[in-house]
Amino acid sequence: MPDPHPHAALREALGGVEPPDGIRALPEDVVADLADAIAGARAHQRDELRRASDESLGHVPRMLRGPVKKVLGL
Amino acid sequence: MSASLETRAEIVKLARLLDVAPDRLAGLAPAGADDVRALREQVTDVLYEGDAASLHAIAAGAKVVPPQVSATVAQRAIGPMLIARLTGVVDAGRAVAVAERLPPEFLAEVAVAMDPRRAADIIVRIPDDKVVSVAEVLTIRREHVAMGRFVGHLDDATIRRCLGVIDDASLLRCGFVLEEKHRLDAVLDLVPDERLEGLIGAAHAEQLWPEALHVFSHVGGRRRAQLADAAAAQAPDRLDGLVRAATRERLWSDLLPLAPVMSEPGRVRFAAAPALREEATVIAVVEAAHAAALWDDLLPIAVHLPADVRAALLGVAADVAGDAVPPALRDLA
Repeated sequence: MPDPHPHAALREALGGVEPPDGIRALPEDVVADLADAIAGARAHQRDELRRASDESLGHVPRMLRGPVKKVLGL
Repeated sequence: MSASLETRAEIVKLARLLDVAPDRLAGLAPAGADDVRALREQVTDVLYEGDAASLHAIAAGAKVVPPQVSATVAQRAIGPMLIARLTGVVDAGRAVAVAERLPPEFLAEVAVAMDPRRAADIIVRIPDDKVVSVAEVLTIRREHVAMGRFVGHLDDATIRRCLGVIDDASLLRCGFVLEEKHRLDAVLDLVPDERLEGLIGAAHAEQLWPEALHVFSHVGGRRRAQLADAAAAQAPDRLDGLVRAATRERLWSDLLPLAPVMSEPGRVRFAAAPALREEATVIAVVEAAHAAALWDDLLPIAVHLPADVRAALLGVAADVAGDAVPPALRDLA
């Protein structure tokens, strides 16, 4: 179960890196919202990557889809 | 530059990276500009490197199709945010070949989302015409933060051409958030002399004195003197606007250092500004001179102040700074 503490959530959002001292010293509600914003940006990026992967091949001319799939290991 | 303004600029940059409204991150202000900037570096790292495998896979797929196909896929499937991330992993030559086939509106969105430091090899190879057209779109969209981040990666010839499509107010706003402050001096040198008056006018018309003074404080030599005199040469209402903005926004520590480089007529005009008579202004000037050890910068203005204003200023100085007021200033009494 993920640690709900804001500082732990922020560290996790940053990929395990400790944030700067001034950020850590901020009120917990600010830290929590910051962690949420960063996690949201990462999740959005992952969703976009999945969508791009699904949709990109459809825009590649048929004759080139084979080589692209081969490079991508599909 | 006041610390709060610098912190605000860093919050805007972080908000752009996270694609959130800057107001949402207003609570970060107490951390200060340096820590918000350091946090932005950490967020950039995790966004670029967290999905590195997927990004590399897309880049690999793009290598086996012609640039025009990549450009089509970029617009219809991948989107500007991911393209921005891809600039950190793709081959520079391939990236430029694709960028040449993308419309400036799309590239402007990519520019807003990308970290230019991770794509320096790509940026320097983008044709000037494309860079200028993207700068035009970014100016229209008021994306000053993005523009300010690219200046350090463009040569002087390209910047000079971009200046032709950036209006005076946007130039001040970009200078304010410029990532590489040491480039401000060189960039202002590229601004034609005939535009300096326009910069002053934009600062007044759009209440951009904090931005203008921040930019001017990073300029040296001939250009600094020109800007100082251009400011002093303004009509009385504009000069009063500058004086009151300096008081309201606590900018006297940025404004006073311009006094020594003003021409003598410029100092006389500046000292005659009616707003300098206002008590709040006199107090703000003295406090800035004392806090930032700018007495030597105040002296060239003080000698030209009307006698009653000078007396009031020296009175406040004695109360605020006592023996710290240098003899040259005390002797004006």
